Amino acid sequence: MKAILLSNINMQPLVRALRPWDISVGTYNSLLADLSTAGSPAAAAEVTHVFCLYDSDTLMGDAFYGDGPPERCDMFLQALDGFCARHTDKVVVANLFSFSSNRWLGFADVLHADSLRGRQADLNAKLVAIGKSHPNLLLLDLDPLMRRHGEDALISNAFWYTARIRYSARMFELLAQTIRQAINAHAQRCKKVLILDLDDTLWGGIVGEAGPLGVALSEDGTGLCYRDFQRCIKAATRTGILLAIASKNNEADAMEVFAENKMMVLRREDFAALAINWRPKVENIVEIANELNLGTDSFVFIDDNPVERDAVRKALPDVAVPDFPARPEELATWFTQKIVPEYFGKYAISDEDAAKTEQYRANRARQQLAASFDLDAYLGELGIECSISVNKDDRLTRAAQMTQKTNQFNLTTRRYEVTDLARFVRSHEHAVLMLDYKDRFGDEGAVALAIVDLAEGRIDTFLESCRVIGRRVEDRLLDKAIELCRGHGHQRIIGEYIPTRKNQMVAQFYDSHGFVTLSKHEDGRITYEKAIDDRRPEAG
Amino acid sequence: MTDDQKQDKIQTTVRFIASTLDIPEDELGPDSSMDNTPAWDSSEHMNICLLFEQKFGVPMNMDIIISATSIRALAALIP
Repeated sequence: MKAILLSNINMQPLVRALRPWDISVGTYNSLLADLSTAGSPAAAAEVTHVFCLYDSDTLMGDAFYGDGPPERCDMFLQALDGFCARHTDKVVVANLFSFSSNRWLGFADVLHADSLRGRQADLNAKLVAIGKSHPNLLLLDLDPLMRRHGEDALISNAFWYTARIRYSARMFELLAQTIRQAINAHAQRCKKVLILDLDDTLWGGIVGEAGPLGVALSEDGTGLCYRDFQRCIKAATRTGILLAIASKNNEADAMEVFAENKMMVLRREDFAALAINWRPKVENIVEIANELNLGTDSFVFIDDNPVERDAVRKALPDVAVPDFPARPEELATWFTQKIVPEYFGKYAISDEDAAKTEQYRANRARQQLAASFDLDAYLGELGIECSISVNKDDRLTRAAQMTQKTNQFNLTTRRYEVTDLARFVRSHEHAVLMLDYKDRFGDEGAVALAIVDLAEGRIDTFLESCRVIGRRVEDRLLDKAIELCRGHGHQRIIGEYIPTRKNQMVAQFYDSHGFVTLSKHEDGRITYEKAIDDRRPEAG
Repeated sequence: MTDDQKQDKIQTTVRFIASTLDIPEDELGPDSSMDNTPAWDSSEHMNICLLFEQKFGVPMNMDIIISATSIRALAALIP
């Protein structure tokens, strides 16, 4: 990563707060020029991230005091829009407009035509419209930070008038943390599964002692703390987080709470996997990983019991195990403000994310069907329908997400960000192929991805979601890749297998699809080729 | 304040400045200041003041930021 920090104020202390990142600083107070000039340091090819963190009050100039229109804000929006369009290979991080509470209109700031409140909303509406048209623009809302910690603690008049530094040391720390989390969210680097304990975690008390209606779960007092915690978790499932339970309990006791307690927000069907028994939680977590076909490095484990947390941390260091709040009244805030941004941050939420739990549930139904049919009959029974899209801009976020998250059925495990894929599509030398899948149990959305280098006739990336492994949909994607290469005049297609700790399952993929080994490299990488000229049409 | 207390505050300030500037403690002494410490430039001085305010709970004002440019001056601010 090579970043540059642009601003209209002195943001130098942020460089320290973001160490060890490699960050240079743009010319002081030349935000607009740095964004607009072709030869500016921000435009340099080696820059991967541009932090455009401006001070809204300052950008308004005299308009902040009601004197004239906010012309420079509009110029900034135009410059930002142009920069993002010219540099689709760079991630641009910009804050939303956020005015300080120094409002010259006072109480009149609500109704007056020049109210800063209104100006802020108008400018942000324009900024959000720009954000929607550029997948490489990451917009940050800093208002929640100000609301949580307070302007008095985060803004410093002494440093402002001495050195044009707006913020206190605390704000620089918080800003650095927010930027790190947001960049991870934008790059789709997040966990997938939240594993929850039950007693004194999802509800207050112990169900084995208090009974299904005796646990603390209600619309007031302690019970409300747990009910609101469940509401926050339920909301998280709408962004694609999968839930699982690892609880030491009699399964029947726990199920009674789901069946009988009307104050439960989470339902049995909200969970993709259940492990409710008296075995060690470490074993249960490993079993959940097998059942969901996911690595434990995509798990976050939440349990009120420090002994259980410690055991999981020691035995499964890949699993993220955050500390648990000391008081139930902190649960909802803790989960929303700490756990979600730290482990489950997402910048764009796709339709697939929203339907994730449903997809895993449908998968269980398919597994039951699979148990009673031979493979061909089973596949016929499923009623599979696939469609393949090529170079669709609006699918690139999901495509990048798939390259970041797929470990097992992934021939090369090359991780791409949306900006990389945008560059591929723009170059016309690559094709990004996405395969959408549905069958009679449900619509899985995008489940397989191929990136083909059309100039070289080479499959750069070929991966498939574990959810559809064994349904032969990868054959259809490979056929399409071959068809495109043939269309570009290639008489052979190149494939690669790069071994990792996790992709052993596809080590024989090209061998079993009629490719021959071209070369074996010292690092374990194998290159394959296959003739694809028209006289020998490929059946797949 | 006793001499020992003064000495402690100077040592604390030396440690703080060394870690902020990323330089060894033995490159600093009670008489170190912006004038005789190359790494302590005007930009680093702002980092020093920001972090000093946070670490020691000393509210900064313009006069302090401009004048507290030595180990002794900063040590005297520690409550």
